[in-house]
Amino acid sequence: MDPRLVLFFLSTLAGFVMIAGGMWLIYKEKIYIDSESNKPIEVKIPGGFSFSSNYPALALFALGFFPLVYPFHELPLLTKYTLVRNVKIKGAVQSDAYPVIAYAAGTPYPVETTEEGFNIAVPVIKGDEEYRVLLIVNEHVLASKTVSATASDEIKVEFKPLAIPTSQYKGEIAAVPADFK
Amino acid sequence: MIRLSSRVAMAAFLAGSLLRPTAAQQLNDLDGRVFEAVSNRGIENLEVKLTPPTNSDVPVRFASTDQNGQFRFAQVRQGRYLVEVSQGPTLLYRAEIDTGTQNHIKIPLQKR
Repeated sequence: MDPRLVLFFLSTLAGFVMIAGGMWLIYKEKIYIDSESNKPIEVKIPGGFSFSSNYPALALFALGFFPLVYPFHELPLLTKYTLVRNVKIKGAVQSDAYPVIAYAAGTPYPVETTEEGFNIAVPVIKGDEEYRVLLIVNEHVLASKTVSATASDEIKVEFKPLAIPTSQYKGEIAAVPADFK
Repeated sequence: MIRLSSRVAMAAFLAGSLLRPTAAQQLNDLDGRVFEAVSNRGIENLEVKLTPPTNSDVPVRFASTDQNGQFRFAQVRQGRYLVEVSQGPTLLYRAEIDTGTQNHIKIPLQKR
């Protein structure tokens, strides 16, 4: 279960308790400001008007409204803002060629292009909203582009056509054994 | 005392495992030739990749074919490898070999 649901439930519960408690206190006039008279404060305003206030109870009522309503506002957005846990992928590279560029893909598998193109879901992490899109054929990076997340739900990226010369040779291509994958 | 004896035992184990010649640590040269199947003419400038199994600590190695289509990997640790021949991004050939039993590969390619 999403731990944020527990927080939302607690927030709603706290808001409900504050509002219900505030209403009860207002009804019972149990919160007193004037400790001498044990009565709600009576405020006189110009024009001969006066009213008595039990504003701590009113404040409790007003403040309880926010935690009560906030989770209902945020619940539909839970699916949009997925939980993100940052981890570091570390590794040593021994190579005769330097530098070796290391990339970690956000998707668990490469996405093959179709006639319509490709569609890759990526998380948006605040402060790290750039993505490197690589087009790879047989482990060769043929094109790459850096794109940034925007307010839109889609990031459009355009590549120039790839003219890959067809080899004049062909040979037997065995399947990759399981322990080589 | 126990810690000292365990260190001595570990050092003896490491020294023994380093000095003992195992089949997996024997090094052989591996060479091969990529050629046109019909004419037997060697094909040059192809990339040959030698990949060990994923759980191995042996490095991935690369070589290119010369004008006779020949390539060579020196001092290859014995074991199973995946041999792949590519021309640019196009994969032309892939096969598994065991360098314990085979130190020469013949790779015939057909013309399209």
